[in-house]
Amino acid sequence: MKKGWFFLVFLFCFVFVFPALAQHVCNQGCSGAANITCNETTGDLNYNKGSCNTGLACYSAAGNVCRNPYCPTDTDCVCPNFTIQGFKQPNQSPFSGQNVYLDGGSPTTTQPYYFTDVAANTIHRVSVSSPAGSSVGYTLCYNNTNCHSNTPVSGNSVYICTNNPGTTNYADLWWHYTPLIPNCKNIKANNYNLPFTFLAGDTITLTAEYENFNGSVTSAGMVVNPQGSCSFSPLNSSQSGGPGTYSFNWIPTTAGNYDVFCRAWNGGTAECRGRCVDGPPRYQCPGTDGNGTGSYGTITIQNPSPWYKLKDASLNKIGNHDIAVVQNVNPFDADDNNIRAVIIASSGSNGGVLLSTGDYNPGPSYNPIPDKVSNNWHIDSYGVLYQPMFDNFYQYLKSRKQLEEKSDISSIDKNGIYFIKTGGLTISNQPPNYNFVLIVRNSSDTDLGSVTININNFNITNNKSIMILAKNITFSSSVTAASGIFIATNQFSYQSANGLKILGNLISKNAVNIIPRSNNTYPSLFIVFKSRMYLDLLTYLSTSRYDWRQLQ
Amino acid sequence: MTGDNYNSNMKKGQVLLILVMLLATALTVALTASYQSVTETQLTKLEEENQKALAAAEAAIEKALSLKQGGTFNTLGLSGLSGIDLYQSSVEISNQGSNSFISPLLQKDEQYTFYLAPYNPQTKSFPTGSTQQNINICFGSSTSNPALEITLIKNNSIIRKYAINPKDSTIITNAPQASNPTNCPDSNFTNQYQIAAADISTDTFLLIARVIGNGSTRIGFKAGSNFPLQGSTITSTAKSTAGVQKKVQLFQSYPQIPAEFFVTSF
Repeated sequence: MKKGWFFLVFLFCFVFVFPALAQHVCNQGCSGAANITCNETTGDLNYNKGSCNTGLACYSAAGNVCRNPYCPTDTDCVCPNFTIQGFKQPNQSPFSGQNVYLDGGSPTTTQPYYFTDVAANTIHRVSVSSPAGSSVGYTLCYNNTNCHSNTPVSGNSVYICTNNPGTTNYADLWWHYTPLIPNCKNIKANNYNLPFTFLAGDTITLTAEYENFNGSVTSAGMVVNPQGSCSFSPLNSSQSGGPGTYSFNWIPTTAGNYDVFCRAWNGGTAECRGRCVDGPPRYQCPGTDGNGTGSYGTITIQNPSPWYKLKDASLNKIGNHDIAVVQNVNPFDADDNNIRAVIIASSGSNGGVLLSTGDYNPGPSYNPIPDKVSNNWHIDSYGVLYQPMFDNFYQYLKSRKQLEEKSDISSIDKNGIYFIKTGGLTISNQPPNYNFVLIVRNSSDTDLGSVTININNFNITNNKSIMILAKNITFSSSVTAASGIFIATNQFSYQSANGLKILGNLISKNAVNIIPRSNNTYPSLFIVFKSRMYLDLLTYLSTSRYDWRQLQ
Repeated sequence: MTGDNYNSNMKKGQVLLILVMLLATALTVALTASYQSVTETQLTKLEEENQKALAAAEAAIEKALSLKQGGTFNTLGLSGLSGIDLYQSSVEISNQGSNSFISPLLQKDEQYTFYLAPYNPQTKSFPTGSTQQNINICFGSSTSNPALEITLIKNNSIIRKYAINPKDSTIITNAPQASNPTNCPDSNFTNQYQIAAADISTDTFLLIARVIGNGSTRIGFKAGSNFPLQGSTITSTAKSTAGVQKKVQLFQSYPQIPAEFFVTSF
């Protein structure tokens, strides 16, 4: 019995005091060698201990010697501490700020991230958080950084197999996030690229292309916000469907600058937006360049300008023809129609030439107002008109025709040509029921004078052919309609904010200030040319031409 | 004959010869001056007669215009014209229409009112309408080619307008261009545009042609049938008692609507 105990103690001492006699130590030859493998997905480290001491692997790749399985190329079997480092891609929120864990410990959100002085005697697990609506994968390389253009391995965790390079000094681990979004791009407004300017009241058709990207398109949307806001108003519209081009109509009502962006949904998984990305599962649309270009833009809305309309007439626009008229206009009254043109015509008639002495700017480039419905005749930058009769007509009448002086318009008692000398004529009553030409002179009869018409519907009921010639003609704010030929050799002006309609003709040597209306879909100034008045006044409102020739 | 006598006679002959030559020269100068004076007197007289006849012819036109009638100077009561044969001088007012007409020269932005329906100056009315026919509008010249805007004023308040560019030029955007003239009142025009008979129809009173663009032009009108009278054509022939005759013609148009008062402007 004592001999047995002695043998056991001896054997124990022999083995542990002189282990080489029983098992092999580091970097010594061994039997039972095998390769060392490590699975980055499971973290399983497989090796064959063989005849090596515990904790060592009989490593075949180094010539059947005992090595530390965590750093099998290290001959002293003492694995150095190492660093785990890397990036989270793409380098933008929310991905760049995701948590990275080492073995489930405290996370780091830094970008790039580092875990330093990591002990290499175990297989470490690195994992990351992942925003909703995204997938993540990794690229891992040891002791180099050259592997990150490889296709990432799907998964949000990886085991660092330090044995893979033999001895690991650092592991470069990049995380590649993929938002599971579709894409939208190439926003256009009425087929124009953004930014663009439109008029309030015009219908704007917004289009964008929707395509599958990391996720499939299941719905398409378009949003218009006041610039800088994410109110999703005045437009937030969507349509169900797959990839394709979608259109959304918007009729702006308020002037200002607006942000426009498209939205594309991948079911309930993720959504991409051009703007107002508030966090997963909503991501920035890649757009055309991967950074969102084409998935958003800016639209400026301007108020339409007051404008003028003529019927059966030609127009000499003094100064610039510069109006911005909405697409859908409203008629001034029953004599008008809803045709959007500067010059309209009665049945059987047609309009004439629009001559602008200055610039010709008929409104927004996407929808300039035509001069006429057809035969868009115009001249721009014509320059100064030759108009000698403005200065000479009164003298011509005095020398060639019969004129009668009156003290007031009410004293006109028959058809004819009349003049009134006054410091300023104010007409507050309806005119006499005759066809006449009235010339307003100043009190000293040295020049034409001024007249103010205060009565609304002047001569409308009588509907006689009247021509008033004065230096300045003013229609007060109460006058919205008048009948006659009104010729101002200096300045015609009106004050009605409800528009002014002239049945006859209007001639002003200088440009007339067009008064805005509360609703500029209606014309502010509406001239209905009446040829009958010219026929009725032919002998009064005319000159003669003489052509002398010596025959012998 | 002695030598002294011979010398004395020689000297006398020389003096005589010199005197004769001086006399001939003086006579030539005197006769030339006299001839020139007579010629100048005759030319002055002729010029005076011309001026007198021309002034008389023009005065007679003024008189005929005021009386609105023609006749001899005597019947017109032009008795104060000395040196004018009042019985051989006369004024004629033409009332004949024609199928061609040329307007006076029109400047930029001016217009001409052409009558397509007969106009009665007394009643100041249009008794009837127009003749339905094609009308050629001719304009421009070798030195000036503006554009035209044509307005037809009809009796039912219908207005028809045409814009015409000169050929090979665009003054009015989108307006058609005229063609080469083939049927104009004369050969001086460089552009022709035809307004169809259907557009003229029988209800048109006036055709107003406005000159647009730099340049001046006469406007020619040509049709198959006669146009209505466009005004008064007065031809005055004055003959002086010395036999000098002058003839002048004045065309006075019917009322013309100035472009400044016709085209809407503001």
